[in-house]
Amino acid sequence: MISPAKHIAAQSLTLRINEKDVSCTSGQTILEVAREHGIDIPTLCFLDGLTMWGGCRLCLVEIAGSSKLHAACATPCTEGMDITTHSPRLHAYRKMIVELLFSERNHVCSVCVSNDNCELQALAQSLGITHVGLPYRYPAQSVDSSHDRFRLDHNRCILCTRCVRVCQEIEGARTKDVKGRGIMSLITHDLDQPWEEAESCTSCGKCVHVCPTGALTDKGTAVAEMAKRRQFLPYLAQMRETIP
Amino acid sequence: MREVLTRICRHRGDPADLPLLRSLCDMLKATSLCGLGQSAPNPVLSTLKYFEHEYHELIDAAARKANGVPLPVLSGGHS
Repeated sequence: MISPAKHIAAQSLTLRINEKDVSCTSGQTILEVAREHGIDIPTLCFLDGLTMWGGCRLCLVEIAGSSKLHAACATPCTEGMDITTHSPRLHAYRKMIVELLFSERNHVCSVCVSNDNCELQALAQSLGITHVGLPYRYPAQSVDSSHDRFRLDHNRCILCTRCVRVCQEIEGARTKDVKGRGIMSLITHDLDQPWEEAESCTSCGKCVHVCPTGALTDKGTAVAEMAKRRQFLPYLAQMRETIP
Repeated sequence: MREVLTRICRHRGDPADLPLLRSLCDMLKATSLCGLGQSAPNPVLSTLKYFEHEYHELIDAAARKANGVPLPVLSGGHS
């Protein structure tokens, strides 16, 4: 992530995360510092190399002295912060958020091309979700298979907007966007056209590989065959920062 | 939340709906970024606090309806 403060004056800060004293430089977010120190905060919309979004609400942490919860990916560290990243309360909220994601659309793992390569699935397993206590909505969303190589299945989409951001920030094509409101939002191409007709799309496939679930996939993959490769992203983002 | 509320009001509620509604409200309130999300569950939480008996009446009515017993006239306004 590009933090403007880094380039001005890097100031050293000390703070506490989970009762442990840590130090960091000003401009770093709580999530960056926690991951540097081996503390795992679950995330879905955050992806190293893209700007932060703060939409999935899974990285929420408690900060002493604040009644609100703060998204770790979007909150810069300040001197003397006292942060709790894991508590029974946060665990319950995270579990419920993931359950809501499962109930909003069709996420049947056993028939999904991303089975075993899915961040949503891995997250549900790590949070210990054995069943969804909420009624499933299962709205019938369309599948856009018009593109030669890729497929967009709205039914598997969790609206993390990683594809929208990678298309705009890394590829610079700005093909993808979001339409609609709330849980009825959908990813669109150009002027809400079928993917094939979107002229700005360069068919680079970056969106497919940043997608955490089986919403964006390569064509010709069967169940559990769609493994994502997103190692290129921090590298590309770093190249951009170093080239003047 | 709206679906659960509508279900209760239409005499299709279930005793498990009340804890579900409460936990949904609590989660929405705590995890929202903007003021709308933080305050939108308040009306539901207030009715749960002050008119909980009406929820129970509606849910009991739902159970009676399922058993074929005619519905009683309720004290509160509902549709």
